[in-house]
Amino acid sequence: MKFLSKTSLSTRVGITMVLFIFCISIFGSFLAPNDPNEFIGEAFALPFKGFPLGLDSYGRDSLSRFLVGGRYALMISIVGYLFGAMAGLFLGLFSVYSRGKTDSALAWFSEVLIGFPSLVLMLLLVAALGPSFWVLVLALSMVNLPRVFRLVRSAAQAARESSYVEIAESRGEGKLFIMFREISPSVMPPFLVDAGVRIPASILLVASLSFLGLGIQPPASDWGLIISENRMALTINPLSVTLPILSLAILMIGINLALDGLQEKRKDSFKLGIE
Amino acid sequence: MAQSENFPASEKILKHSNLLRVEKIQVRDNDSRFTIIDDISFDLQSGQTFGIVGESGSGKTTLAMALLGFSREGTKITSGSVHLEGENLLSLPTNVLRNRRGNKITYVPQDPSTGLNPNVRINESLREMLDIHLPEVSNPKDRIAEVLEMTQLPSNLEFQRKYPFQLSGGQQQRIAIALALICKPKIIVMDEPTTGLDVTTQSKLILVIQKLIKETNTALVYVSHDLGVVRSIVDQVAVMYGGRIIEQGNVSDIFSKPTHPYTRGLLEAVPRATARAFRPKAIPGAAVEPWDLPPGCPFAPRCSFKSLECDSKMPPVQLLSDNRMVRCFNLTEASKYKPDLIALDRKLLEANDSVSRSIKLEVVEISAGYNTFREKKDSSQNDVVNAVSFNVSSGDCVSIVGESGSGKTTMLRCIAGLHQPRKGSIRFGNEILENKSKSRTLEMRRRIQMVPQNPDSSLNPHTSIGDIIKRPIDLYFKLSPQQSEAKIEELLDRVHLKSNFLTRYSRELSGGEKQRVAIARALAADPELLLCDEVVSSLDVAVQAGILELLQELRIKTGMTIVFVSHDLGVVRSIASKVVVMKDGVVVESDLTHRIFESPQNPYTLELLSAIPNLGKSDYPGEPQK
Repeated sequence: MKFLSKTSLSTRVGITMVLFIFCISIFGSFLAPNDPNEFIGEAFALPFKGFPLGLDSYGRDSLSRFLVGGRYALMISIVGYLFGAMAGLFLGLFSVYSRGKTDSALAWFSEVLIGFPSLVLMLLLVAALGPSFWVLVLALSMVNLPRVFRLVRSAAQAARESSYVEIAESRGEGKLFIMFREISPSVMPPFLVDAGVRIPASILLVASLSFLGLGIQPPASDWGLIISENRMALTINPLSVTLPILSLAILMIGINLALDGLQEKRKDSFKLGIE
Repeated sequence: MAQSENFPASEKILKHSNLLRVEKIQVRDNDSRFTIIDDISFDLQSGQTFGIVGESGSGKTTLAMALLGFSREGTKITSGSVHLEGENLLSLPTNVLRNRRGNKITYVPQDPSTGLNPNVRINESLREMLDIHLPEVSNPKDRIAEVLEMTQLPSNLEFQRKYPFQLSGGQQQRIAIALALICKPKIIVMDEPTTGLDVTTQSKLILVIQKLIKETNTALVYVSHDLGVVRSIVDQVAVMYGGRIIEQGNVSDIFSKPTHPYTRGLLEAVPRATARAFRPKAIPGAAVEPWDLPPGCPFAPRCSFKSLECDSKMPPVQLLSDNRMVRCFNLTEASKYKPDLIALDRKLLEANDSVSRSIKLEVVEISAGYNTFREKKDSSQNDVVNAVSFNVSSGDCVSIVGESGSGKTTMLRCIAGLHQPRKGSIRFGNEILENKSKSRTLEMRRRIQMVPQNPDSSLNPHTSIGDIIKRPIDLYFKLSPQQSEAKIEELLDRVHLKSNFLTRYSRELSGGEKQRVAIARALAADPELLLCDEVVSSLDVAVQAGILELLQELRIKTGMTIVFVSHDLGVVRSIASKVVVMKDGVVVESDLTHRIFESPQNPYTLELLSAIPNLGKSDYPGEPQK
């Protein structure tokens, strides 16, 4: 926790918010008091004993479905983002390092992928390959990859032409050393800012996909799906929708606060030695 | 601050003031943590030229801007006054002040390529100045043509409709001067207007400035780190150090009989491109930064004449004659001192040459160029280096000299394997070098190391100095951690850096220190050939002399061969034993250094030599006896 003591209050709050939602989504299934798929009673029933949030559109326990439902959405979005971002980072650095035709070809290909609206690209892939966990991860990676690639490529270009990279080349350094030790550090600041936008966007994308019915399939529980299934009953029993919405909101805000803090830390260490 | 004691003295120096009177200006940062310039007073009459010289960080630009009542972001003018024709600019309301700037007092910034808006045509920007300040001018077009002619630019409409980016650096700077001139101001403040220009362009611009000042009777404040340029332009000069004026007076007095130890040190460090010269001598230590000024004299930590008093008290202003002042406690001791300077004479250079050495590097008929997209690879039209040949003996230092665009850097990059020549071959020792550094063996790459031009971009800002120096050692030698640590220590010692630098990052270092790190990184490979690309051109003279001393020392100690690319003949004079002069990609003259300076054969070499604003024979420390 030494790391945390140096960060600002808002960062600590942000990290706490993210950890809290992560705990819910990971350990939620162990805490669920009831079977999330068991039909208890009347649809949209108000809270009663043993069922503090009442029942959902099919008469299942809202609380249990909420506790279990965080897992997939989060896993898919985080893993999907990480795969896409890592591939984008690697390809971006590789493209800038290689220059010339390789660079043009990769850039052209990424532009083509960016040409598809995110949701449309994901819908196409899911429709073609069927909605399973890995297909969703793949679809999300394909959305993130070209965008991260483009960012990394533009951020790395100045460093590629710098004389420290030239010196490293004339010294006889390998491709990977130059890509990761010499160029990548100067890509990190925009990469982190971008992560702050892209992780929440990925979570929202996965939630939207579930909402459209192409994400995790019923009867499995998922926050996006829960919102989709219960939104008609907002006036009858708002509780079953509120918690997933709140959790998603808390997660978005938390991630942004945490990444802002990381940015500031980097900036601090980069201030000129005036003090 | 010792303001009260020197008040009477500054009062005297200001007694004739009529056009501009600057009194006790102080500029501090917004939180008042440190003082950037302090206690600066001088005055200026119309038609007079006033030079401000000093190293980077001495506060000369801050002072120049303060004259217009301007302070940079994060700083503010905390006290003092700037009276222009009896009106205190610092107490004027913003809108009135804005009217004075550009109208009565104007500013020419250092870099014209960023100082001019690339989206506005030349005549539009000139017209804008007139519309704002002198809307009553009846025929603005005539005035625009007039100032363009005054700055010796074409005044036709075709030229006027150009955009700044269509002009050369020298032309851009003339436009900046025309902009400053168009409203017929009383004073022009120029901040390093010729820095970054080629010597021949610079000498033309200096002529233009001299002529303008004479014709228009405008007063000029000229800020520069180049003592030669200042010598040739101004009448009065102030030497700044640590935010103070430490010596001030007539330019000929200051340059021929400097009294302050810092002024002497600065003049000893200036390289001269004359037939007879001393080797530039560095001032020990590094320039002070505003945030760690010592309590007493700012120069005390580097001064060899300092007494106890210097560490605790700011020396007061002493008047030596009517308009000559200096701040120093130990003038008498300092004036007795004779520096031990080494004359760069024929003997010294020939001694180097008398030993017959094997040829280390042989460049044969190298042609190289940059291909544009559509043209074929073998087109000789784009060659920037054309059939260049020269040899370098082992343990020698050969210098390639030329203006920008002469192909000297491309030549060096060909040797380093960073640029593929179109024709020709390079022999290193007994081997023919492969064109691409990628196809060379690791051992060959170790033997040839390069120090690039700009130390700001040659060190990775995200890597610590220790890691930067360690990397070549790890790559080329298999050493145990203890051995490599010992080697790093030794390298730092060789480039005169302390071992506490290892954990620092390049942004925490000064320009000279960065360049030392870059040299240490090259030395870490134990190279046989060191390629130096303009390694001192971005450094102040005092620091530059230190790097030159270091390279000389390394060459003698390790027997390393050096190829030294530079545009500055004075610098070359002090380090190279042989000079190759390049122009437009062709070698125009190549000879031993002393012969080039004593009897240049080629008209271009002669032109280069005469374009350098040298210090004169009578200027301290003078020339060595024959």
